[in-house]
Amino acid sequence: MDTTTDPLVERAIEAAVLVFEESLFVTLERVDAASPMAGETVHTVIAFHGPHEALLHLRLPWPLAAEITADFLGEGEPEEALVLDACGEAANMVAGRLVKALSPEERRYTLEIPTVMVEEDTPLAEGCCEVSTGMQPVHLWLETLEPEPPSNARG
Amino acid sequence: MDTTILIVDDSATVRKVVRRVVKQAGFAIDDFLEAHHGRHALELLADTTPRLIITDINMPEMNGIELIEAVKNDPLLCSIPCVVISTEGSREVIDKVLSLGVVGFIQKPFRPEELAPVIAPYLGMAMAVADEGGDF
Repeated sequence: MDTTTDPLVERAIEAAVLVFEESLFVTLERVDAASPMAGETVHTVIAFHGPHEALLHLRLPWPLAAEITADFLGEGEPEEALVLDACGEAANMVAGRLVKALSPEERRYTLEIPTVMVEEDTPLAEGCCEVSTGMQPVHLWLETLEPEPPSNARG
Repeated sequence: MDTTILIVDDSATVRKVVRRVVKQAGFAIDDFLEAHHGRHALELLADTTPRLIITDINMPEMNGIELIEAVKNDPLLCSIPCVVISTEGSREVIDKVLSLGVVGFIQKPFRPEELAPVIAPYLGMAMAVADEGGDF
């Protein structure tokens, strides 16, 4: 599936652009083709459940993650734990904005607690889209969750 | 009673932001307490009675709904107003927390100006006179 044309991915990108601009003070623009990120990155994953069941992945280069954290908190250079925490919260807000846009009246979605990982020189994930600050990339992709099989299917 | 606010969120970032927003709104707060989940909040509530609780919903150990239920079922704590700030936006959850008697539900991401009017009625005289040179 070409996720770059998936309407759900497009909505997720819109949500990320809005959250980064309004809450994290970063303007993002869409990039035609994503490129692998070199160096240390912060990878956050958050699940949402409802009419669509998926994992939302967000990956930022470490320098951008640290910069966003500092700006968000209005403080100087943040500790590593705080950078990871802020990235988790950023993904939480993007997912929250996404599910609100998907179901503004009925509000049929729930979110899980995000998980955050530090990775290095990561390959491009399937379906990955890139937005950019102009200087640094942000990667976002969705991973559809398969519905759990009925309990009696285990035999 | 001192004007203490208990902020409950598993994100240290959010706790810092909420604390800053409350201060910048001009409320005179004696102390902020911070808890990273509901159970931690209940431990703090064993020793302190804050003027207000501001809590997230999705947290490990004990979530915000369980915390609010525990507070509202405790005769010593049930009068503490609770405000929810959360990305959790499902109708089911919103209806549930409103049924528990929370005094405000703010969805993240939120603008600083959204919080002040929700918490102001419960901080009473804690609203500082922040008017710069204004008339009285």
